[in-house]
Amino acid sequence: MGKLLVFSALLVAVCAQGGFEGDQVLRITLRDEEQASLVMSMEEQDHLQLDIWRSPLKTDLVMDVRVPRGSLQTFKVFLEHNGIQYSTMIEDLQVLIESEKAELERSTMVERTFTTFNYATYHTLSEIYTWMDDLVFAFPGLLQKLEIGTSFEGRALYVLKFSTGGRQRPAIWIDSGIHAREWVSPASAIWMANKIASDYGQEPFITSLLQRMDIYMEIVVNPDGYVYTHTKNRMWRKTRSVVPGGKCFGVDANRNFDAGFGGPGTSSNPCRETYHGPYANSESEVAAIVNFLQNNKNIKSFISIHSYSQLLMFPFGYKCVHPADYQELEGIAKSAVRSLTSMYGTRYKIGSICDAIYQASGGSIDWTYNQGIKYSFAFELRDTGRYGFMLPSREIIPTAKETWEAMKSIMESVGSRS
Amino acid sequence: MYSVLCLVSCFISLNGMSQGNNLEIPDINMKLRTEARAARQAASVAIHYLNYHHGSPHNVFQLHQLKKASLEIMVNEGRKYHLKFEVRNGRFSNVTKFCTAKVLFYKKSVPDTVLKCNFKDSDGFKEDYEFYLNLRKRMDPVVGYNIPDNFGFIAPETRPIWQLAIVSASYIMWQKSTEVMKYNMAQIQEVHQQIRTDEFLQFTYIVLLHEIPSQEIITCNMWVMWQPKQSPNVKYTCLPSPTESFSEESEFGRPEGME
Repeated sequence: MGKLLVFSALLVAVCAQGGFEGDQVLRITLRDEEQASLVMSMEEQDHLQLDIWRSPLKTDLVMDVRVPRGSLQTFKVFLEHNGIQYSTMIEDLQVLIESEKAELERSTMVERTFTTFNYATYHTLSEIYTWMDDLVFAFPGLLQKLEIGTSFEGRALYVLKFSTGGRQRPAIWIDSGIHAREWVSPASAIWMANKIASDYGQEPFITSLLQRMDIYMEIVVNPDGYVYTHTKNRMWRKTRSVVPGGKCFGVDANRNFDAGFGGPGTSSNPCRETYHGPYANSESEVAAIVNFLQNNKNIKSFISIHSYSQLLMFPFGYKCVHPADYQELEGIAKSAVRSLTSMYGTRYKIGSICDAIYQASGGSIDWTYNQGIKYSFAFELRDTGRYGFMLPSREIIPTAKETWEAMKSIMESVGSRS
Repeated sequence: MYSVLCLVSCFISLNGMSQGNNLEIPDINMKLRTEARAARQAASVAIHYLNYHHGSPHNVFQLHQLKKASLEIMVNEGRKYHLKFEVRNGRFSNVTKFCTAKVLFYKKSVPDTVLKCNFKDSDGFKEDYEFYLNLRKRMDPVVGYNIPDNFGFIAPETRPIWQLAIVSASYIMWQKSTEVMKYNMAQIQEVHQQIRTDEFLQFTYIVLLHEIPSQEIITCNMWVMWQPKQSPNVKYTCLPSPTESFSEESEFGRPEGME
């Protein structure tokens, strides 16, 4: 195992290449500097293609050399002729590379602690659920995992609660993953959750916020749909509920809230992507959120994360009428987007849902606004259509970072008004 | 072209009016906020048109900024958007080019688009030609699935194939766009090259288009013939979109006309 560790760093570098079949790595134990310079002179002979992995030091006359298969005979004869001691560290380099690669792949699939969690890639549901437990374990004073319900297919619905105490402090709710194919949504939320947990106690803004307010984050609102995008259909959007006697599955969870339910921008056809469902809150995933909010009347802000289009929106979607608090919400959104854009220059548009994207009824933030949660916002993250839902994983962290700037701006506005 | 249209519609409206309606309904022309959804929708149509006519495996344009927009409502002729916008070639280019466009929506017709941009030849011709020569040299036809993959990854050698699909699909998306329905190419499900002996490269694609606001994913078969310095020759059939019905407009709200 120790030997593997020593070489694994080197192997990472050579991993990208193949063609080391039959090559050996020899460990040469030199008696003195004369022997060292003899071996070095062999290294200078280009046709042998000797590759020194470890050079000798005055205090440590050991050399490790990779010898291509074709040069083995010549080099070994030279060493023996000069009475230079050596041993074979690696019998066949290619064989070792293959097995090491397999080991690395296996270990990345089993992410045991959150410190090795790769935030720059998309994860499966079970990886996310494991990460959640690891995060809570790593920040026990701050974090709790709450189970708020069960999905149609029986998966637990979890909310991370960030709290430094008190009883039902004024709180901010953030959710992601309501639409299964919008992968960058939970991916960004995961990064942000880790950011909040890590920054508490280190960074003044979040530390002071968490001393007065709680944060709730539901990372995967629609776990059934999310799993389906990994296993069957990357483009799936809805839940996976069954319509009795029907041939199509699922309801658009963001058309299932009780705000203008069944109105424009939804479909009564179960086979359509914007099917609103048989009645409001028919989806257990939606009912869980509604139920949670009804038991926590101190939530001041409700923020839902989607992709794509690069928008920051507020109510209404079900009617093309500006809410009473339009000016204030527009002001907060403008400020948030300014912070977002300052990070990498990404341009966002703001507006009410109807103005910014389209008229759509039964959306979560319309319902929450009507319940009195004034600071209700919805994000549509990167990009604007070039990759769309298939946003490259290299964009996850930049997206999360810029969104976090906007999020902090909203939290600051909400915090100062709560 | 427009004078012919006017001639025809003027006749029609004249006939209609002779029934006793003596009111002259003037055409309306109004400035739009560039953030207005309708303006951005019209701009997306112009971008599809631009990509189809001037795009290539190494030239794919994106809207950088919409500078000015106005709407002309022409009785019996449709709604015409006048646009001034800046475009970027590729995602990382700092250079922007200017375009003006007139996009006319009328009932179910293809949006009638007139486009003028301040550049003649797109960059990237050298790379297009290299790509073309490389493919012409190949014995085995290109085959691909799920581009980008689920993680948004595209192998570097596959990027021109993907961009050629975007440019070709822009033809479909331009044709299908309405004041309400917007499209983006979501993914190439499959691509197969057909080796030809003439100067064209030929590909059959199955592409998935994302339709907004219905949120439907439309599957289209696309046959593309291309050679450098030319727009692709595109033939397509799309599986019927679930929203293709007369009630489509009402289901998704009226197109925005007034502020």
